[in-house]
Amino acid sequence: MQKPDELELNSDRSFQSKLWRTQRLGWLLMIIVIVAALVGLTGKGGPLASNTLSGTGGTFTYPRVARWQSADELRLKVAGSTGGTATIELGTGLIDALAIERINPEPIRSVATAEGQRLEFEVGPGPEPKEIIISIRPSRPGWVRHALVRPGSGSPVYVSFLVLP
Amino acid sequence: MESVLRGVAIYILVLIVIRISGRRTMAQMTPFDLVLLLIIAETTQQGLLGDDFSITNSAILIVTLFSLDIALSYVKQFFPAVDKFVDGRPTLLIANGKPDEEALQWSRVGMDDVMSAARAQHGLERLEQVKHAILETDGNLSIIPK
Repeated sequence: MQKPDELELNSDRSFQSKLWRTQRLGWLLMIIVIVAALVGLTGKGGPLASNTLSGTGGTFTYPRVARWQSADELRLKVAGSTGGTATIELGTGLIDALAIERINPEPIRSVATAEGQRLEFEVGPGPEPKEIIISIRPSRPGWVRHALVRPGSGSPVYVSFLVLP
Repeated sequence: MESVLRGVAIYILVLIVIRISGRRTMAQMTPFDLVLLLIIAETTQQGLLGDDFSITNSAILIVTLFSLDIALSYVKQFFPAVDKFVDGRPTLLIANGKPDEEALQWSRVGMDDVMSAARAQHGLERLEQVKHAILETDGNLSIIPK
């Protein structure tokens, strides 16, 4: 549409058209952010927010995406047995990146090892699997790469996860 | 250091989201929009402060946010392209009594909005009495009667 000559107006129609289209693209981006949050790509719940690894000592669940200074959990599930001790070794990479706030149940022993620290838990008898929950709070944003975790006494597994700012 | 980075991140985020959401959203403030604005303020506060509730942190953030605002005004002054993007340009919606349907649709302004502004500003009764209608950069509608 032509601007009337008598109207002193600093308008730019072609720029405005581009801006309107950019805006709609921005809305699309907002929808993508919401969907990503719903499926768990931004951490804190959702199907993709955590990952579970199975090893000889049971299963280990950790967040795939965590948030800086926001509470999260590491879970160790030990298979049912006649009781005894369960161990988990957390590598230096993991301990550096996360502040451990609370361990449930409390470990009976924690040992400093060459790779990090090993926690030993007393496990009661019974066929049901037992769960150990380690409450964590990531202490800095960024990628945590190849952090060593050794659930049980088998070979270690390496976990990588993203801590969002 | 963290406080300044938080301030910058939130400032840019809010600037982009408000720009994307369009002018109409902010200018035509209904009671619900006001409540929404308060909720956004409350949500932003968490991201800005983190877990540090000290006066030092508040002071750094206030200084950071004001400085960014001053800096942005200078950037806008020296780079008109930035000004154009951040503040936009007024849009002609009705010229010489002829409505620009495309502009009205894209900027989400209805004839009801135009008439409401026409009544408020000039006491006009009919759409034919409107010569020009302009959507200003602040989201308000300016009506020039015939």
